[in-house]
Amino acid sequence: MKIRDKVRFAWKNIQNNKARAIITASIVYFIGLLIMGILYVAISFSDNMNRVFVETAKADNVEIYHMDDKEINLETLLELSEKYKDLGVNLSASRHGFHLFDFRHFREKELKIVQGELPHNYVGKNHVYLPEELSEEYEINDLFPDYLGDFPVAGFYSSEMYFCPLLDLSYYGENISGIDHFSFRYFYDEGRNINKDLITLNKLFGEVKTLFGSDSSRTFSDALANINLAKTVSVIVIASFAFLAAVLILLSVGSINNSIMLSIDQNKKFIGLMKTLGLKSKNLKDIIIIETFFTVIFGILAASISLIFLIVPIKELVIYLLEFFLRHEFIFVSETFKFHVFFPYYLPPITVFAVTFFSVFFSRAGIRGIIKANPVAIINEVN
Amino acid sequence: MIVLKNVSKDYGTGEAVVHALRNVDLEIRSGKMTAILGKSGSGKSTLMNMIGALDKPTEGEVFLDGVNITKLNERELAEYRNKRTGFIFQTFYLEPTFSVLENVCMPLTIAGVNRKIREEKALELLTLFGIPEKKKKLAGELSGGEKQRVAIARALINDPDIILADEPTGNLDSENGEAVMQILRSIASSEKTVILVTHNREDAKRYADTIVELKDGKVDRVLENMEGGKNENPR
Repeated sequence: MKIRDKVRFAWKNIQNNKARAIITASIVYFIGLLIMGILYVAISFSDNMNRVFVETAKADNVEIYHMDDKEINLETLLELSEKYKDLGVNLSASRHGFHLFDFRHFREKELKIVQGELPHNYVGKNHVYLPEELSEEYEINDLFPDYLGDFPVAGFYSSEMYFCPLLDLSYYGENISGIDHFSFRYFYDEGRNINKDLITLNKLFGEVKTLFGSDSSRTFSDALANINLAKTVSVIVIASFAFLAAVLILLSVGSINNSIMLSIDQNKKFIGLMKTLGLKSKNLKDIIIIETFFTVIFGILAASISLIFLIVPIKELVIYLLEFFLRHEFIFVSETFKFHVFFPYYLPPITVFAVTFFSVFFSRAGIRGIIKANPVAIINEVN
Repeated sequence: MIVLKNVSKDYGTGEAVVHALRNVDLEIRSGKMTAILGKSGSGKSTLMNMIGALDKPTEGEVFLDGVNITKLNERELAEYRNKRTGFIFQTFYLEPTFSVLENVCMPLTIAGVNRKIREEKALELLTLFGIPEKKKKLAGELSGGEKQRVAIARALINDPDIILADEPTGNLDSENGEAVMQILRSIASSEKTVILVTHNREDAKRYADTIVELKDGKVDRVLENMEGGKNENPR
């Protein structure tokens, strides 16, 4: 039997009882929306955790910090690089007075040097948020032409000095706040000095991505602890959300399962007739699967379209709830738990497959019953 | 040649068991029209179901041209029903939401035949039965006589060896019933085996080559009917 005809037969079954199909598709829609919404949050959260904790920790997880000595101790860096080379982490070094980040893990693509008053919405000891309208933007290549190229970094100075990824800033340190001859020229020159060091380091180690240093900078142990924490939290979050999604999938499967059994019952006469005319079990099974697939895909498609519009509100809600509940626990809450708005395109097909597969799987006893039954028994049952 | 050897069929178990067929031995000649005659509950439909491989006997064997169809597996049975048999039912069993053309095409659709080819064949048959203009109508919109013609066309479209007709005139008025019997007779005359299940002795006598009378699940008698073949009107 050709697939096109199987589809037509399956579609006929749906059309023969539109009310049942619509009710089932509606249930699938609501449950599908919940499943995908939950998975979206879990995936986004996990992605964000990796991005913020793991990747950035990897990028700058070795610190050589010299508060008093302005020169980088290359010897120490070399020793550390040997010590940690098997861990696949990148090296970083600090230099008094400047604080540079590899922001490739953030979403900013260009350098911003933000000049302005210390904003009133100062949060925590080491983080501030700046209103964007205070910014003056400079292309990265203007500032660090030799080294950074299209390397995305961000910087800010005021009476105190900050280098920041757009709205999220890291506080540099009090010791520089007294400098009154601060200028872009000074900033530029010092940047070039750091550049030279970086070029030297690059020659030694291939790539040195980050140079930073402040009282709040992470040590290697801190970074490693962060990675492990991120991984653990990520696993817990994904497992919890996946469990929730699985429960919802089971609910959906129950509904579809019921629909399949109703459909089989309502179409017994037609099924009996088709078997009389020589329909093979495999073809009958295919028709039932296609019918299930149709019911599921309409619900999931509608849920996917809804999710596209609901992603932003979901994100805002989750961030609001996290900030509300965790603000006192995590100083990084805004950045750590703030995930991107993106639509996980792979979720709808996976959800369709999962719901269809499990629905058919759990209905297999009923399906097998009708497949194995002889046509006369099926027709007589209807009559 | 269809041969039934010691075929029995029971429904239910224990004290509630019903012996629909009891040790039936029967030979049905190919290319002839055989009427299975009997009262209600005599086992004639059960017998037809055994021959059509719609049901399996509790005991005994059914052979078609030497092949034991009771030993066929599920897949082979489906092939057998699709390729070698055509069924005509008293209540037509047309799918009301399908068009006439789609209903007629169904056995070929199931067999995976190309749409164009199957529709051409279906239209040929509908033309033969005088209802080509109904091809796009839904089956549910037809009269009883038209429905049965469509059902006969469906039974013939896969060019089967055996046509099994279970009380095909039971739901028709006498005029349409007559027309349907004429069609069945002419099918038998084109070297196909037609097995007619009926309780109408007159129909059996007028059209069948052989009459098998069943009583309480047993073959009561088998009559060769010399009149049967003479009652064919050219269509």
